[in-house]
Amino acid sequence: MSLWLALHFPRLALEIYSRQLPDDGPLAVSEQQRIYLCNEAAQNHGIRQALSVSAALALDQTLLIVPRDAENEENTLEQLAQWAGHYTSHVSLQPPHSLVLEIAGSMRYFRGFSPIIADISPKMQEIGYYMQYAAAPTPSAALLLAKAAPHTVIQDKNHLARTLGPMSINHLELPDPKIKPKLRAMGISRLDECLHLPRAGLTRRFGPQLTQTLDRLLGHQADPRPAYQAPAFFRQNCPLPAETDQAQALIFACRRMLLDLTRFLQLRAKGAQQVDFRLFHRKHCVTQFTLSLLSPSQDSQYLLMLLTEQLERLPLPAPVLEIQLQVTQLFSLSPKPLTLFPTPEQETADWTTLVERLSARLGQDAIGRPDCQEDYRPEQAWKMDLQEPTPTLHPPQTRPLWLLQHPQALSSEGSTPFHNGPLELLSSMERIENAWWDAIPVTRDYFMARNSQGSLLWVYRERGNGAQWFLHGIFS
Amino acid sequence: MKKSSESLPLLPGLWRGFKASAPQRETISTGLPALDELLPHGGWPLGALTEILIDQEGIGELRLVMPALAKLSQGGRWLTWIAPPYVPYAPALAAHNIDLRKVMLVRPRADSDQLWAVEQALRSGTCGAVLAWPSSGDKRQLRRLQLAAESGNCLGLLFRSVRTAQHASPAALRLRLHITGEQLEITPIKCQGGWPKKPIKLALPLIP
Repeated sequence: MSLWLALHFPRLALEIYSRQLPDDGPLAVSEQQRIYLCNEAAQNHGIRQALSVSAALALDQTLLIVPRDAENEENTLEQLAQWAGHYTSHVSLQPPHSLVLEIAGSMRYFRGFSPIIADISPKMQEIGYYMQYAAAPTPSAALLLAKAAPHTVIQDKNHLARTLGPMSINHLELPDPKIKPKLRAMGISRLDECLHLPRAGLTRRFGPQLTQTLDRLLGHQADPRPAYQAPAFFRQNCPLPAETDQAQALIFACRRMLLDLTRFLQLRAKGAQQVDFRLFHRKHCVTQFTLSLLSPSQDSQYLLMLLTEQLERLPLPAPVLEIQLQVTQLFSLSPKPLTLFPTPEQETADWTTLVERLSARLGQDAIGRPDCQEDYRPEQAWKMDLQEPTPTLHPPQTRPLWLLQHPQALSSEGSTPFHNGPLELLSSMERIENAWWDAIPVTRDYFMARNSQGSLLWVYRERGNGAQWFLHGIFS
Repeated sequence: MKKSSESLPLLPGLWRGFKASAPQRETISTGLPALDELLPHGGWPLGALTEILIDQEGIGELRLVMPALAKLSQGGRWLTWIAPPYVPYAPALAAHNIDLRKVMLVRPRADSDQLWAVEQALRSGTCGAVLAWPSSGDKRQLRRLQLAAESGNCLGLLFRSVRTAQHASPAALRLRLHITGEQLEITPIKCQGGWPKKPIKLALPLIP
């Protein structure tokens, strides 16, 4: 006993644009200089399908006309198919605007058919696409009913012929365009009239196509539909209806895409660690940037916050026409521990959040952790990166807490260096030399010195370089 | 007849001068007994800003806070240094018993980002101490930092020039440091929660 649920999206061509628009002004999609689809606000102004573009603009000057983007419709349909994977494992694409789901296998999990529909309808409203659904024991019957008589549910095969009877033959999907006019010329306009005709006669006159279609419709012949296989990466394009350079408009458009990304990740129980954004400008100019996270995440609010920080500081060479979001690598998420007391993992998560927030605004290279390196030369004995420092042996001698990035040359009089007054050398000399095979020779004599105001400084004298004095550190 | 002051409700922010019960604040010991005695509640105040005002570097202003920072980092909380004037030298930090795995350096390019980064670090709750060298800071911005330190329960240390001593500041503790000979003179300018005591002189060791 099989049951197929068909989802039909008649306004898809319009909604891929209107989802991105914050307001509800008149909008129309055009194809070959004729209006293909328009929204309610445009219909109120008298704009209808198949009207020419110039006539439509004459009726309403505020009308926004966008070209039909078949590729984007295909991508959107694929994403809806991925979303529908939540309800069943067998989803089939029926381009241009329909999906058919095999849900007999899922009925037991959802405990019946009505819970499935009760779950799908509000979620689809939230996503923002207008949907018509119907269910029938065969996929072609379900698709036909979704277009012609939405919200019909037939669970028993025997009722199929009776329910489909009054439908017009225009809804039949036949590859040969000549069959329908011939049937109409014969006076056949409804499906039940067609079914009453003798089979042999139909086959002889119209070929096997018509009878096969009718058989598949009523379930007398098998109608296999190939299942949709979701790709292992996420890519979504969002064409903006009008070019914009305002950060707010870009963020609004990206919010929907991030929600779709979250759904995609949740279906696979994976997280994204790098999200690539590409902004397309005129003349094939592209701006690219990447949001990098320290650990994989599924949270769309968090990604939106990081994106806002980055977008507000991004310089744009030109207004943006289209935004593309891409995630190519998916990582498994570590499960969040639910504990009463803060665990070390949760504290690590808090620190990770802080570092990501700081680096989103200040840049990756603004953050680092100091670490020791095994080297006699003081300026090489430390490094800065985001890796965890490795435990190393520390020199037994006293080192200053501040090190100057570049040693500062000091003037000297005789053997006394000067820095805001003469310096008094305190400790005994510490000689630091590096190995002869290193590129830059270092032969220095280090002293601790106090200046006339009382600060403690770390100075050195280069041996053999004219005995030049340098300031290298401050004992703070 | 009841005293009128006893009928006042026990508000947490109301300080009664005649009773010894001052509002308790969480503190961390400075590691130096003489300094602990000087400070109200016996240590650096957690969840508040502390200003250290110096006239020149190299007099021991960092060594003063090193024991408390070492204790915080060993206890697992992060130390964040924001826009330090020089490089904090890792071997020296390690010699003062600071756990280098818990030290983070932030170097914003723009000055306006500095105060933002300090506020984020104070508010996050994961940092035990935030050290900052703000180049500017009016009362409103410092008040925001004070509130951020309160919400993150963090020790906020601001190192500023002695010239800012006469400006008002919302910090809970303000100390002026001055070196005389080999000893460091610590003068408390503002001590929230206690009366400012007399200045003390300390000789700080170079290594603990």
